[in-house]
Amino acid sequence: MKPIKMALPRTLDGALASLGESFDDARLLAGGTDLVSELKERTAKTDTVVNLKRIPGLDQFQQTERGLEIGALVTLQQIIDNADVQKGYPALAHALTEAANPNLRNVGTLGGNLCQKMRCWYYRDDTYPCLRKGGSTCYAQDGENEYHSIYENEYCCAIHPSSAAPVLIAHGAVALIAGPNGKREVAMDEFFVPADVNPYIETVVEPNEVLTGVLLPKGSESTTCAYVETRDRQAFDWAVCGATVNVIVRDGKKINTCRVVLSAVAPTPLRRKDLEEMLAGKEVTEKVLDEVAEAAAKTAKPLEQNGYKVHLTKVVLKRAIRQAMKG
Amino acid sequence: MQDSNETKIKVGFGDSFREVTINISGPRPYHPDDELELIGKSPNRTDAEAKVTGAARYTYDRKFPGMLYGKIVRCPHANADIKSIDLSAAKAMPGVKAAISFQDAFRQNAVRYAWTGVAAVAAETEQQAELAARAVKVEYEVLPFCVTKEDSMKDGAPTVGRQNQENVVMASPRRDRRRGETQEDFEKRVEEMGERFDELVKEADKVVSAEFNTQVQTHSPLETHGVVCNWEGGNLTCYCSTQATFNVRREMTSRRGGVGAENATVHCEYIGGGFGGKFSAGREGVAGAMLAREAKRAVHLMLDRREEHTDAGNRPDAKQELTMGVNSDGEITCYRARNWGTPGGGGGGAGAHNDAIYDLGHVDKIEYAVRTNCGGARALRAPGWPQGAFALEGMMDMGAAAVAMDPVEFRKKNDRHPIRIEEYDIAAAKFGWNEKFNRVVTGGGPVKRGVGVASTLWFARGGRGCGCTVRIHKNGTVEVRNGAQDIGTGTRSIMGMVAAEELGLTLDDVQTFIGNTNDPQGPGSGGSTTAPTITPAARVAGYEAALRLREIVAEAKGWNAADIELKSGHAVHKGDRIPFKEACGLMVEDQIEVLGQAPRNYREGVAGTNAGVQMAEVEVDTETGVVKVLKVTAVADAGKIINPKLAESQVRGGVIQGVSFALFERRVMDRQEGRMVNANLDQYKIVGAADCPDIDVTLLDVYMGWNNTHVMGLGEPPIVATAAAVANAVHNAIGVRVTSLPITPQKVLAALGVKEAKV
Repeated sequence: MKPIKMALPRTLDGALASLGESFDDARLLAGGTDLVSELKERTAKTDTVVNLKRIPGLDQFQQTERGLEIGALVTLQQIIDNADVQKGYPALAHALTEAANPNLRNVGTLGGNLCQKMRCWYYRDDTYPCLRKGGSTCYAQDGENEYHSIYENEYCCAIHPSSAAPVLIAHGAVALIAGPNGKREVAMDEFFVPADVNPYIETVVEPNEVLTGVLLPKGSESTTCAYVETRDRQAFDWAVCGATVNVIVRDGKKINTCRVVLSAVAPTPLRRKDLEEMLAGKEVTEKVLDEVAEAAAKTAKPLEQNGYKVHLTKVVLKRAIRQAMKG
Repeated sequence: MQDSNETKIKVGFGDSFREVTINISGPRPYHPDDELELIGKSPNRTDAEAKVTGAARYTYDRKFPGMLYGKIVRCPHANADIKSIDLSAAKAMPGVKAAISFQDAFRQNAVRYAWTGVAAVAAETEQQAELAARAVKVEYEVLPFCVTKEDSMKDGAPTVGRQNQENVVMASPRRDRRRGETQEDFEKRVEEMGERFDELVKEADKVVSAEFNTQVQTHSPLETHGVVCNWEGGNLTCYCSTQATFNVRREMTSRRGGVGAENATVHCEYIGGGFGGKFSAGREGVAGAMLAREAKRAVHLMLDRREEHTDAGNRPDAKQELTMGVNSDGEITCYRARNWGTPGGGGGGAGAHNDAIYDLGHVDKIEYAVRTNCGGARALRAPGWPQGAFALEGMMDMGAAAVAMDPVEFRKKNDRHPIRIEEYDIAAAKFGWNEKFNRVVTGGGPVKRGVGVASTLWFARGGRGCGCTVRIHKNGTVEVRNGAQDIGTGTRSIMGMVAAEELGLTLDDVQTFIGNTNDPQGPGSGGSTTAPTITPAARVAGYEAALRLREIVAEAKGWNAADIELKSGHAVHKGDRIPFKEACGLMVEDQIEVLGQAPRNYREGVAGTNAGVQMAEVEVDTETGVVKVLKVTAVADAGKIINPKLAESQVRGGVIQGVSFALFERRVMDRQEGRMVNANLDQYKIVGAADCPDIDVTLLDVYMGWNNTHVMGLGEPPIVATAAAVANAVHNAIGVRVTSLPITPQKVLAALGVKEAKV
């Protein structure tokens, strides 16, 4: 691991003051499960780390009139164990149960889960100067790419591995961000930056900002949201494909409105409004499931080794729709 | 129990024993009617508490005052010649106390795989060493490379070796130079071997053939390779994470090894796994000793995880093209195997043992080693066997199907092993083979169940060259000592148990010392021979120490030595008994010290090989391709079982590592730059708790003969059959065969005909 400097601010303002104009100046440390490995592997360019753990309040749940706020430093296990989450957002608890392993869930935080870096063995290896690390090429495009993106993979085909994100998007959650000029809110839907917009960053959080938490707005509670993933190994492993379906309004067996998010298949979680529209107003029959799955498959652009992920996307999508309809 | 020469002993197992006459020295082998107090019981391993509380100190944990940290400089290129190495900038870095070039130290001028070491530095802190390593300037002439055997076998492929070494080399059969076989005779022999197969296969009622592929597996021990070295004059103290302390000592004292210590003591009290990859000090060990000598300070040099994956050995991959001729009564008449495997950049073995276990009739087998620009193969838990068994057992199932026989019956028909032939029925009964294999499933969801069977063969008879010291002190303390290491199998505990049994003590009553080359010579932990090599020596030492103690007690008490028994913590003479400690107090001298030597193995016994049968039940999600191993029933044998709990753990460990090999583990090489892209424990996937099956172990207690404890080793045999049984179960579940390991979801889907999954 390279030598680092660590700031330990006691206030949010103190943290903001420690940050710079670039991610190369400083990076935020929460649970450290991702950043520390980046520092060890020397894929993080910075030598300054701003540790958030002394800032009070960031590790809290809050029920406000606007809804349920989950602080950025709340651990994944605390979310899984939280009664409000279990009652109103069981799919979120489920998605996080599928993530990582008990040790990591006890340390990893919501903020870290959302702001973690991409999963790609070329990106994670400092000897490959890949596009996302500021180089000129994506090695995975023509290399070993069986776990890589099947959508939006023209520039960088790493995957964003957050399993909290697709569920939060499906619930219409809002990211709470603090910066030098005060606070701002961004719909989770627009939180992630597609690789064709900017392949060097993952989220809209600026280098001088801090993600302080996530708001699940009042009325977004749902027991009809389903998260389904598949992975190689049942013990700690990354999802190979994930699908989240939240049936927001239904009419008997018919879906009126819903949200569909695919995950682990693109450089960002992928909200699929086209599929949502296909489902709107339909009774969920096997035929409809097949049509929606085929529509998802048709838009995929698999690489040399990851065509199977197109098939798996169909499988998890159909399973998620069925499960969401069961409520 | 006397030192007579001709003795009758009983060998056998279950209710089938026969008497054989052998020449022995020292104690006669355990007899089925012996009333053993400790052997066959399951006391906790002596180091259990130290290991789970963290009190156990591994090589990694060793510290000396003023100790430096070593770091190896590594080449990122897969194939290159070294033009020059400049250490000057690194030597000028803060904290740097020593630096060596491998050009100087090892006359190494070529790099044949990425992350080969080329230099090493030692500095005050790990961080300084890391920064200094990055400051070493190495100039390379970078050459084209191939990192897969498929690429290496192509016409016009880059040459991996040097000096006209060919990429593909016929590894077996080999010309028998010792018997003076000419090249011409050799070629004729190979040709006749093939011709005979061609004849027989025409005559066979059924012929099955298939190609199987297996992956490169790395050892991935929890503790990486490395040393902590400290010199005092010409004497070296070396803590080494090794499974062969005496090998390391030899390397450190050999004049040719580059270290050339006058004397060396090698320590390895605890090791965080070896699996066959730690027989040598390795470049890292030698470099550690050299750096320590140059700096005149202790040096701690342990590999990091990437170094461990790329430069510390692996199980080679295998492509196996197999054909089998079967008669309609189920008899296998002929068998052809063509194997290709990569030993890495050097030569050496990459074999797949796919022609053993069963009687396969006439065997025509040719094996090729394919050089690639990858790290070299080393022994890995049953080298050659899990990959060979996977292919062979696939063929066995195909053969059985071709003649419409139950897979278990087909195996029995072609099996000549006296132990295994019994084990099939034991396994089938415990597993419920008949019900499960013949289960009729109608309808149901996407998740299918299936069962598979596979067998094991191993050769863990052990040998000589081993001593064991037993010291009984006047205060009743007992030491049992051997200088070899306990690779994790429980060697230390069973050594203590065997000696304690002779003294009528429990395992807690004796202190066991292991992993220090100042103690008597012991074996390297390879070939599953440690237990059968150490326990006979421990028994001799315990037996002779007991004789001496009995004589002392006899003289002091006026008893007859021949009538004294040491049992249940006492010296017992007819109606009288005194506690062991009191008996020891009768000594005139301070201690009894006996160096016991393992006697030569006897010439007779049962089988002389380990058998074993495993049955696996799996669940396959035919939509996601995910395989879950639900249950493995393992029937195993290893001669006499000293400690059933420890033996069972070996079987469980083998099964777990076998599941890992079957479903998850594999090295992924990037073909663009020639580097391993998953050289970590995140993307190099190893079985986790959630993927472990329910494992049901049955151990046979076999009075094997061959040595005075009847013990055979058990480290390797349990891994041989697991992947094969799992693969056969997957076939049984989904009706198509996945012929490539690991059985990933992608491969399952491709086998099921999902068009997107085909690569």
